[in-house]
Amino acid sequence: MKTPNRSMVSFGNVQKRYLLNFVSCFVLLVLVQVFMGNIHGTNYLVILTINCCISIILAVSLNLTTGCLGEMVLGHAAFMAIGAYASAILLKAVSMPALLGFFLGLILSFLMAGLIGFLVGIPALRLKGDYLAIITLGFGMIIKSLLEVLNFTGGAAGIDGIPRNTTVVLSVLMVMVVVAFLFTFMRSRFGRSILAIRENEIAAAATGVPVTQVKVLTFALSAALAGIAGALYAQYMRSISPATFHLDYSIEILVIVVLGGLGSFTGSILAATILVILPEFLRVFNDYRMIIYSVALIIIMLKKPGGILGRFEFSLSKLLIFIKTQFFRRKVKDHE
Amino acid sequence: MSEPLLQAKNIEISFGGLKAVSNFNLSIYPDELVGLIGPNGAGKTTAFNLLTGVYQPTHGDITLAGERLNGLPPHVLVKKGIVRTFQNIRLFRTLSVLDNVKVACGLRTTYHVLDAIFRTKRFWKVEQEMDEKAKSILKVFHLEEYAEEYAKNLPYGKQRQLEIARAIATDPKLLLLDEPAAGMNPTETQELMKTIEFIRSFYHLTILLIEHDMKLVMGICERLIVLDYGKIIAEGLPQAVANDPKVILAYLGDD
Amino acid sequence: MRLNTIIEQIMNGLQKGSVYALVALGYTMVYGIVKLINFAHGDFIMVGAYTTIFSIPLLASIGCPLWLSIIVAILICSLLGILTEKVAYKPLRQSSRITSLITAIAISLLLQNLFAKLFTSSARMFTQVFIFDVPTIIIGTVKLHKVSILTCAISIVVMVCLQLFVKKTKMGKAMRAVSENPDAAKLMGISINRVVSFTFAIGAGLAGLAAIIFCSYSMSFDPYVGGSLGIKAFVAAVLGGIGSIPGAMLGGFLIGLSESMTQTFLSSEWVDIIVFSILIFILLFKPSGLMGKMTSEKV
Repeated sequence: MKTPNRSMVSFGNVQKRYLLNFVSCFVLLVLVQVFMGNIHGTNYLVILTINCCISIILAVSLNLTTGCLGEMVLGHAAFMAIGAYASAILLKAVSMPALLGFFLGLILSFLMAGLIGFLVGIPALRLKGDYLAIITLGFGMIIKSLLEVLNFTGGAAGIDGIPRNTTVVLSVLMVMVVVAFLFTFMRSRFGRSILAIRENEIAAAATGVPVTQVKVLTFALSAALAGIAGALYAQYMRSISPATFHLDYSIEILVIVVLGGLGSFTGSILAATILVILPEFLRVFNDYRMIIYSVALIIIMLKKPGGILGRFEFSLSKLLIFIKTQFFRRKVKDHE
Repeated sequence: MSEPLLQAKNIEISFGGLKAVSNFNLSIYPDELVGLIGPNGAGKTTAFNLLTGVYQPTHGDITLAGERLNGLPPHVLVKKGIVRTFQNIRLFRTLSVLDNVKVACGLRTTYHVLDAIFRTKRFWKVEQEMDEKAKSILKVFHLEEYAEEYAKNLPYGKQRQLEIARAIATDPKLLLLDEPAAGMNPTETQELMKTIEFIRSFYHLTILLIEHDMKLVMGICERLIVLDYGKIIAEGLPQAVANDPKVILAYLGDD
Repeated sequence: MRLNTIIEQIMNGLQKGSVYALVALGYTMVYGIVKLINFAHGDFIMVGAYTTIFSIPLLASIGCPLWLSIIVAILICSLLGILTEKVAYKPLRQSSRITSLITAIAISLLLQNLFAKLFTSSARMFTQVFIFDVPTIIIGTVKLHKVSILTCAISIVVMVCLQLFVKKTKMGKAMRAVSENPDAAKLMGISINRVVSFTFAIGAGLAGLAAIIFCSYSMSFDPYVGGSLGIKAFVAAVLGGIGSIPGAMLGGFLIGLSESMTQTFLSSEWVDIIVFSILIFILLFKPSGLMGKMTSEKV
């Protein structure tokens, strides 16, 4: 029996695997377009799906810093806010066709959020553990308050009248892009360095990893990706205000990441989806919803502290291989 | 005698009011195998920390092949060719054994982020090179069968070997080993001695090691330096140092 | 700006600061022992406030003096603290920090929403000001509210008592031992469980006391006041150096004063910006807080 391949980058039949993944993504996109492409933007299902996509992007981007790098940061929502505002301001200032506007807004959001993330990261990541958490919390609060105070961001009222460029297909596409990016990024020397820092920072430095640099860049990347979620949000909701992006939202995202499993992107996707969809089913218990949620959270933390999926990552090819071997085993049994 | 590879002049460091290391003068010549010994708490690991940029000396200079190293952080020093292992094993526990070594390989050969994202030819080429290099180093330490195992699952002795393997993957000029035989039984220690001598010649390394195991020290070290209370009290050939009354006093105490 | 207004604002700031300081003391004590950021701590105040408001009519009906409600609030909060620790934090002592953090957040949410369900989420008026029905001192044209001075005094006294307790008593020494090295403490015969429960009891009790003071200056509260109070108090604890008792006091007053001054000279919108900027500024120059100890990993 072959020993499991636990290395980050594996050789062998990669072409086949990549093709498989690519095709399945493409098929999924086509399906989404066919079934949901023509539904009106305010349809309930559309709202749900786009919310899901935004949550997923927020969760996986936070997981990069919290799960993979191992640094707990609070205040992720602030970077989403920067992305949202960047897109909003651009699209209100310059009018352009939907698709162009969407992608330009996205790029600007990515860059702005990444830039601010970089600037925040440089001082913040000098601190460790709980001090890092509190300083990122502080930066998050400052950013939100600045958005409330400054004039060109519309103050507490925010900005409205943003064109609705986000569609379901574009949202799902962006989720795929972000997740694919994170998978390929982590399964490379960059991922190894990041995990090395998480495992043992001092050893990582002693092995030549430029620790502070990697930390700041990873943090900035997390922020930039959150910016993408912000761009999606702004161009869907049509109006944004600072009130959305406060500490509670950051904590919500953190909870999703921890529930899904720190370090598992698959877990984040699952947890984000569940936590967007489940409340809809529990609408019956609307009053008790939050109470049930908090009790469930406590129970899960007590019983499965590593999160639902721990560090597990899903692989489509591995799933197919698994199914194949099960099927093959049964066939052999029948013949005997 | 050629130029010293590593030179430490009048190094001193204090913690609070306490001088942990003082008047520390050290010259290591290329291809030497030097042992740094002394009773517990003498400042040996502190000296290592000074030489690898973990601590900055309050006085004195450290030079490598003539280049001044003061103020440089650890990861820069690794690039310059000084690498170390740790007294308490510091492995990347949830990474595979192979990946532990590959982290070190990433130092000398590199590809761009875009190469990784789009899985270009350069990405695969460099990853393949790193893979081969890592596996060849693991072979030297007889660890290749554990390549895909989680580092934390290795038995203790093999974990120590992995740390040395990882250090070698950075292509160092100078290797600092901090108690490499700690916790090993006599057989493992014998094996370690052979391995150290092998890697020294095979990889053209200069080695400075801290050790308490006298068999190892007397067995492979060409020269010894003895620290006590942060000061060097003796230096020279192993036999001479072993018979030095000052050294005996330091180890046995004052009564 | 007239002097008496400034002085009044300073007093306001100190009063607010004492609430923050008391809560920060609770945070810092708990953190010092179990290295846990008890996110639910702010909500203990909320519980204390509700307890007070319900115990007053109760006490009145059985003919007890009404100031007993303070004792009741402190007791209930302490019990809540011990209960929370036993149920939710003790099982996670060996788990990662972030797991405990999330659990603490969950407890915070639970308390907030439970109370919102039980007592509706509308604001309650605290009309029984009688406890602090003390006249104002007037010096020249400056009005000094005795309440403000009283609350500051209470905070300082509490801090001094706490500091003495930790330094001089047996239990205090045990707490410090557990904080430094739990394993060694166990080997010395110290019961970790007792020490932790005791710490939580004190910390939560302090929150109960803070609740009374909070009620004295803020006439109304709802189930969600714990949230922002908790954050500010946590910031205060970190600012002063988490784990340091005098630091928590210092941090609390600093935050209270900054809030008050910003509100007076700028506007209430700038409060968060200024407070957190101060925090960041201080952390960048003194990473372990104003009075905290720098602990670094031994290589």
